[in-house]
Amino acid sequence: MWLLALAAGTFGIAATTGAGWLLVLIAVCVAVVIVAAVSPWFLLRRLRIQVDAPPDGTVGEPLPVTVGITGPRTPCLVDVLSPGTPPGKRQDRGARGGTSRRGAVVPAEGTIPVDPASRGAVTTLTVILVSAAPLGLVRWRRTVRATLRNPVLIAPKPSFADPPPPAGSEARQGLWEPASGYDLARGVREYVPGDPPKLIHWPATARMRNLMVKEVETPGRPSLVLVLDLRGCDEARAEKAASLCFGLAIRSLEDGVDLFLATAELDGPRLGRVSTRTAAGRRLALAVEGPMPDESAMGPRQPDRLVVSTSVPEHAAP
Amino acid sequence: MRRHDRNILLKALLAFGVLLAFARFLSIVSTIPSTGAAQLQVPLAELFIWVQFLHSLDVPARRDLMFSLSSSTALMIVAAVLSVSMKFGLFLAAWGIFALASLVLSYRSEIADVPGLDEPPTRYGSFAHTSKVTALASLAVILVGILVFAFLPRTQAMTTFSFPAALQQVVRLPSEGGLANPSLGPVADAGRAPTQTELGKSARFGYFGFARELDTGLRGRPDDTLVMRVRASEAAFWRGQSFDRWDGRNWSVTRDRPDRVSGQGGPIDVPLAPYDTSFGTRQLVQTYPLEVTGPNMIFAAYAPERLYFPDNAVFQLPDGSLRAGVELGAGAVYTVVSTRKDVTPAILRKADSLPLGIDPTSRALYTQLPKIPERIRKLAETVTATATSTYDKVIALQDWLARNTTYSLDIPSLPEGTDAVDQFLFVDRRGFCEQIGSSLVVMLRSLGIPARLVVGYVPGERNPLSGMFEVRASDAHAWAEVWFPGIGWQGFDPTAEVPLAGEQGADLAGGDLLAWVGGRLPGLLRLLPTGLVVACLAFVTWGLHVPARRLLGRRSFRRRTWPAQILSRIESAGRRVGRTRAPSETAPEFISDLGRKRDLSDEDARELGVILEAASFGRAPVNDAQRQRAEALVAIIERTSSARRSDE
Repeated sequence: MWLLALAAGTFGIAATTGAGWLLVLIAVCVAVVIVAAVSPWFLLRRLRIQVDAPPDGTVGEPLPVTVGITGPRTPCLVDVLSPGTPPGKRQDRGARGGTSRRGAVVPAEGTIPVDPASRGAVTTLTVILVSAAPLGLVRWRRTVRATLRNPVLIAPKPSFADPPPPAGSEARQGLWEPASGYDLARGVREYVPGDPPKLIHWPATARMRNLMVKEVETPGRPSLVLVLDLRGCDEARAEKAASLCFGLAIRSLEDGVDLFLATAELDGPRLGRVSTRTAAGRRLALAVEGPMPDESAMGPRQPDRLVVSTSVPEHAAP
Repeated sequence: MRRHDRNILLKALLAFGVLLAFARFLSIVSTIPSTGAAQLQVPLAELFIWVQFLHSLDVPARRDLMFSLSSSTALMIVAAVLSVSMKFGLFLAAWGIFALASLVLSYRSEIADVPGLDEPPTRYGSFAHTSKVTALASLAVILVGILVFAFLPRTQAMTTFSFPAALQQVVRLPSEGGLANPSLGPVADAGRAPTQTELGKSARFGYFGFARELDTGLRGRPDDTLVMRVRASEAAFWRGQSFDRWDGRNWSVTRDRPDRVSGQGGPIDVPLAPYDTSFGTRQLVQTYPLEVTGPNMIFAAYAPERLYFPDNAVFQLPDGSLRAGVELGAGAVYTVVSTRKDVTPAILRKADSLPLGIDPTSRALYTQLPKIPERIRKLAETVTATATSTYDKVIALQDWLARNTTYSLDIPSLPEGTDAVDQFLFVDRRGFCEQIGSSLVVMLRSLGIPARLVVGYVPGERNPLSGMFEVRASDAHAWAEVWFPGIGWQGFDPTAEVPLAGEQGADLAGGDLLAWVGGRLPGLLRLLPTGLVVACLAFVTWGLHVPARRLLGRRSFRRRTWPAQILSRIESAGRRVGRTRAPSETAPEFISDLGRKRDLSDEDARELGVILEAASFGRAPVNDAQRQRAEALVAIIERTSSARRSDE
């Protein structure tokens, strides 16, 4: 703007003095503004972006997103919008309270930590490129929705209803009994994803030519079905319920509980064992509002049941 | 000095320097009289330059750089106002390139201040790359600037209140108000027209018309020496003086006793002849920087009314012409404000009925003729037989001359005792402006129309960049002026079009540029074959350069050891996807990082790194199987890099 104002002022001087060189100077000023305005737009259009991220993330925890930019050599600023940021809402604050904006001279590749704003399966990321190259006078911004090489499952932020009692304390012992370590096998069944490898029954597997696992009696190890029912709730409450469910799942897994998660996914209802925090996070990332699974499919065993539901004000205990 | 350092000593020195510059400015200002505010321009600009220079030695923040650029632009504006020559273009080009380079570097620095995306961070702004970007930006600015310039309107009026006027050296002329023309040599003050022999001894740019007498029998034209520039918003004939008395061969000035006109310390107001104020007038401001020492005539578009002159007084002849009392040498500058009457052919046609006719003395003076051959008068009457107004008569005669005579510098000598106009009109029919102009004046006088011969310069070529009319010695010219009641004297010329003030419109700077280029096109066309040869050579060199580089590259590639070749291929694949090997990175580290991104498992990357390390530094050479395995793994990296690149 100051260059254009300068050009206008100079034309005023040219008109009063009749100095021809001033017209040349005005032409130069206007040309600089035009070149400064057009170049970054043109350069930004020619940049190609590739993004990659680890397969798992958690709301509130920095997710290292690898950004690769190729194209003509262009100095620019790169920013990645946090997954879940509503369109049109700018989020500059990144991990650790600092800005996630990075400077780069294309071609460049590097990592930008971003804080996922909400859980879910992320397949695309919004990358913002800002450049005023080469003269730095007029800035252009280009927003690109880049498809991730692999989708990222963002787990909810774990929320704990009560502060966890310290390990080994009396209160904790009263909650769940830790696993005894000498489980008794009461039969074998087919392997389902999520079963720990140590339960594979190799003789039965060899006989059946299919992966078979031991079904164990765990008198000292309680089982629990966590039911996350998101029917009839808004997004904020669903997020809160998932957070609570994730907190319970983590607490349960830490206490050695044989944990099952019952959720609804886009593909339909799903009930299955989860043995790690990551697995629980993935399941909860994919949980949506929908019909809940039939728990009778679990067979004769009747584990404890904990329902986290958004359709009732409070979650129901078993 | 690093800009992030405190640089206390430097800052103190710079502050001291600024104080010194300011003290120098104050000492200069104290010598300027209170009325000479205009003289502050140069000391102020000098102070500004010093401050600018000292400030540029310590630019800790980007805004300081922007301040520096803005103030340098302001200085360039001042320089552009004061500059009259093309040399300013060199300064402008240098300033533009450095300003663009500063902007490029400033933006790089701005990006570098933000945490970098790359690990290790990219090195910003190598000299070669900055030069390349600056060159490309400069080229783009030049091309766009030419387009912008082409559509900029030329300024049509100048409205400043103080105009430049300067003398390099004050040399008072001995005869107050007398005509002096050093460019004509010894005859300058002889009070007569130079002879053909004397003319040969005068300066190459001397024009024999700038004397007290003009001999139409003289042959020879001045050369193309640049005699002066004229800054004016529109073209006009820059008038020197007029001749009133014709003796059949020579023109002379009968009333050569000028009046002294004083300005009393300010601009000099020149008395104007009365004119009909019912139609519009406008002011035309002309500034004349002189390039050579010429006559002491003060050139001006007709009719001058105010003069900004570096002397207290000038001299005005009865015909309105102005003379200086000092020698007007190279470097002298003066400004004339002329009143231009917005006349058009329609107004001139109606002028015969206007009041304010010419007084009897002047009528007698400007219709004076010696005994001329009768056929001249008859020719004039025949040509103007159907014309009803003075203007139509002038145009009829002007058209007849344009149709029936030829402008030529190669004409035979005038026989002794012959009437020059008769010889031109009925014998030679070839001649230059003195003969053609004289013929028009004599024919008009034979019809009883007051007319006179005027000498001066045609507008000259307008330089599209400086916007100034460049007047060369060869632009010296003689033309006719005709009296119109209520209007006054109006120029006419059968050989060149005298611009009528009422017909001048706004024009674009691009028009001048096109005319300027068009005028030089024949010269440029002569350079075309040479240019084509140079372009062909450049093209062939460029064509050979690429295969030569490839060939040299391959040779050096062949000379490399196997592990160096493999590493080079991996680095090349990395570069293709924007991953450059950092100087501090070992080969296994680079392969491991690149492999992770390029579909190579950690084990394979590790294996490739081990083979390369063993081949480079191991005691025993690697076996064929290891080589083949390494080649296969590199092929995977190359394949995925190429596929990624084509996806993009």
